Amino acid sequence: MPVYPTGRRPPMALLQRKSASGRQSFYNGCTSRRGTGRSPPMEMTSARHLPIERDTVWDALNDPAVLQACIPGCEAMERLEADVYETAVTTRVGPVKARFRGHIRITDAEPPERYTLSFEGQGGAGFAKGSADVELEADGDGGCHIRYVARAKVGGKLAQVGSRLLDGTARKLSDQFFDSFTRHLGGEPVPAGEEAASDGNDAPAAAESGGDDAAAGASGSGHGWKFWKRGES
Amino acid sequence: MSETGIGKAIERREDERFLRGQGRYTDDLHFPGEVAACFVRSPHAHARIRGIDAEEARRAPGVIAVYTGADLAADGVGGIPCGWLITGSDGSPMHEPPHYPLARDTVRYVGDHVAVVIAESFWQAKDAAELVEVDYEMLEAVTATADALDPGAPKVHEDLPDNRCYTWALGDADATDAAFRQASHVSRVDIVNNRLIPNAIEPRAVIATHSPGEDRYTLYTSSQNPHLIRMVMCAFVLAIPEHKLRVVAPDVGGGFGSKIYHYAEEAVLTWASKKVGRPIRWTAERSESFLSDAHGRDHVTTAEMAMDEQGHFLGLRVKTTANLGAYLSLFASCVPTILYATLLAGQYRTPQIHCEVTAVFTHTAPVDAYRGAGRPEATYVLERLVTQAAWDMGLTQDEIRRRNFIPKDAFPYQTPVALTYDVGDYEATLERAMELADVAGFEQRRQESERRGRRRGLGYSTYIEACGLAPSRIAGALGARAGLYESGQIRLHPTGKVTVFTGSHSHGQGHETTFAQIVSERLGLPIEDVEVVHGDTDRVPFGMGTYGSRSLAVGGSALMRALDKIIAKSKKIAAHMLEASEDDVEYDNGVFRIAGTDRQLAMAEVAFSAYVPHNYPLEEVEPGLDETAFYDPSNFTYPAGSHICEVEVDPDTGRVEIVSFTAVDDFGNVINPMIVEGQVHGGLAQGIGQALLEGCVYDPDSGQLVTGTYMDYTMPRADDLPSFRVDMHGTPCTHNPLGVKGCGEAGAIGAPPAVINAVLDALRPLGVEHLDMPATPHRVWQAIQAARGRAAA
Repeated sequence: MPVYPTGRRPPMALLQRKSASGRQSFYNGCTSRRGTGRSPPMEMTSARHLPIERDTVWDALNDPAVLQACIPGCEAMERLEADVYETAVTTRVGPVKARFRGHIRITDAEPPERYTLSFEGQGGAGFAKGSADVELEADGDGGCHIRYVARAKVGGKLAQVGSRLLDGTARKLSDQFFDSFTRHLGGEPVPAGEEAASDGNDAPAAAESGGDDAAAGASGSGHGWKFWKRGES
Repeated sequence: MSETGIGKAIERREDERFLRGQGRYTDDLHFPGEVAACFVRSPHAHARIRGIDAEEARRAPGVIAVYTGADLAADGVGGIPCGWLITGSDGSPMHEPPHYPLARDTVRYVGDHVAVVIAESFWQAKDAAELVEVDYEMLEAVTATADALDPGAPKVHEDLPDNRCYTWALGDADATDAAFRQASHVSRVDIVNNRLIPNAIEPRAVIATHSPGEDRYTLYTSSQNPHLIRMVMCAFVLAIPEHKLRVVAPDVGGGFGSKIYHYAEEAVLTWASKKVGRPIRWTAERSESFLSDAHGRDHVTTAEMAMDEQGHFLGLRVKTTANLGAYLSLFASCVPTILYATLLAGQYRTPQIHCEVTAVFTHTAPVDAYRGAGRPEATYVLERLVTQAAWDMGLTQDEIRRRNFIPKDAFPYQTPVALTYDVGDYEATLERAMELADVAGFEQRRQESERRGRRRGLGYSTYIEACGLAPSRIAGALGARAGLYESGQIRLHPTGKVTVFTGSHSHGQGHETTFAQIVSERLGLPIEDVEVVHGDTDRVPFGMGTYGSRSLAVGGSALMRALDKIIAKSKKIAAHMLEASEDDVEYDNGVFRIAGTDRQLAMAEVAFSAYVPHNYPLEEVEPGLDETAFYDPSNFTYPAGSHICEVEVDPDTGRVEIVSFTAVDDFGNVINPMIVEGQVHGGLAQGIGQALLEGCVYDPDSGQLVTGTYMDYTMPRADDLPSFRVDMHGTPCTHNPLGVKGCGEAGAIGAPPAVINAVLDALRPLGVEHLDMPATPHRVWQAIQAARGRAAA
């Protein structure tokens, strides 16, 4: 349990926890339009450096066999048409084990720089749909930067039970993917950054440091999903 | 009076088995050959079903059958009806869109029933349910009450142009407008009554069996009113002859209203039990309860009070939009109308009241009665408005109430909104509450809080409710499709033991104790010799169940009538045995005595003679001692009370602490004060939960239930509540034989406005004018910041 030093407590920290009991508080209401609802459509921005040439990365990103090997829990990845894949993925979000069957479609491809990937899947635990804009940039040193902005909507049990855990799960899955992707291509994964290791449990730490603005959100590099950065204020 | 009789705070007899884990709830029952069901539920708030492919599920291990809406339709299974017809102010009946137990072509809320998988084990059914492939075409959804009528809002039911179920009004609009024209002051509030999810500790559970030899069904279900479930299933949904369906609701672990209604699971399992020829069981997982139990409240209201210069109320105008969810649940339509607008007079002499209610459909779970049912919504509107009026007029919260109370000598009192209150003493309960709450010492406590940087506030709520549902004649005139009487049967056995059959049903209220206290006292028999039977349509003659704080006022009164019949008959038998004229025989406390002599007979001796009629007036009375009575009340009962809440708010964090909560209630006569106090405590906890913690949220864009677990839906816990100060000031009900009024819902009705008024009282010096429930730290902190921002600007 966090111990607050003195003075004004950072209100954002209190948003995260109800009281000493540690229970979460109510989302700011939306029984009417007067409230501002919390919207499950999520957005995640992320950037990684891969010690692999951009063209190799591009080809691998378009190779169903590589994708199946690297996407955590991917059971099948089959090309239906040039830019459409059928896939089956099993993943776990907190208490919910979710098996999705669905489609991935690639559009607006500008090899080897960018494409948009849309996905839509459903299973017993609900559904997920969304898209990701992926960008590759050569670093001039034999490697490349990959950046993406992903948006997702989920529904059913996944939204009901797991929504609070989705951020963390998505981040974890993304890390796992890029780690195995890098290894698959013979590279050594570069840690995703300080932030990735310091999950959501940082709230109290940030609070202790008195950082009122600790929840500032997306930052330039690494995972910009809302998170708390240790020691910054 | 015996040690266990009326008015004695004896311990609840049923608690021993509950505390020892020996209660028998539906899920505890097992039947040879039973199989399990799992429902496939919609993950979408609104979608068209283009097709369902269940082939893979049917081939899965252990699966016996998979049924969809088409299978039910093929067998002629009907829709779930609504039990109360509301006629709109334009004379048109409410819209009643079909509500099929399994969706036919469209799903309308997250959790809507799409298919059922029946398998040898629950886990096999659950695994197979994931294999049912439903091809959905996702459609736009509307979930917010205030948005449902927008011209562009997605339609919940295609044949309804504007999602409106009805617009209904009560009171004289012109006279109310005239009162506003004469007013020197008008106060106004715009409020939201937050949607709640019931969360009974025992989730809904159903077991259905069919006996082919007699073509007879038995349905075990966690329900507040098994007879009503049987009536609805037989008459509307499954067309089973009523004598061919037995409904049993064994021990029920809480309901708060959510177990009044007939649910899809009951109909589907009963129908399927014959199809598969084996008993089928289903128990809701907690996440299913969140999605599919009928929710409560969910109103958006504007209310105005017209006053003269002294703060006397001249007129009240209320406009409410009520969210009914995607379909009409059994009593959904009467909650925001009959049980709401009629209560808007409160404890006051407001001469003119007009209330207009528009009920809307949205892509959310059905909304129905939840502890208080309409009356908490009315009380919240009125008591927030009355306190606002006090502040606007520069009066104290108690003074404005005193100036407008219906005086003690004005009863019976006809309100402008249909009800006639029979009795009450509002000023006395307020005075007692103020004394108990130590209002006199508040200012000192407030200053002390301020020294610690905290804000302290005091909030009042003087509520009234209409309980003891209901005079059937009045209910029928208002659109009820059922009578609302109650039955009671008293069976004396030859050995002087008693079985009591009641049509009301306990889901935690302690009927086995309260009713036994009444019967044992009236018959002069030890309470150990009295057993109460409820919750079984084969054992109890008939019943309308438990809701609206009616069990004692209506069910208890039926028992009193049956007891009268028992005593009248016994008197004849006793007179014969005593060789006296019936007129000379007196009955007192279980003893028949020839007046003025010591010649007497005990009730048990008479009972023996009734079954062994060797020396018996056979030409005058039949053998046996078993009497049934039905009681239909002549009026509602009107419990009322004064609640005072004292809070301390930390302006730096927005956290509200309830420092003390005082409730002084008028429940009329009290049979068991300990049970009543327990009911008050439970109600207050729920009311405070609504005010500070609980709130159901659907995502406005996707229609997903965001507060679908205890991570996000905050139930009150012991450490959220103070030690309550509870007292009673009873004015006995004038029209039922026990003089009782009902106490089950009072806390949930009175508490929410008292809490919010207290929080506002604390924060008004900071410029906070308005807060909606639940007043979470987040909201309170934001309101304080916004007020500071306004002050700085």
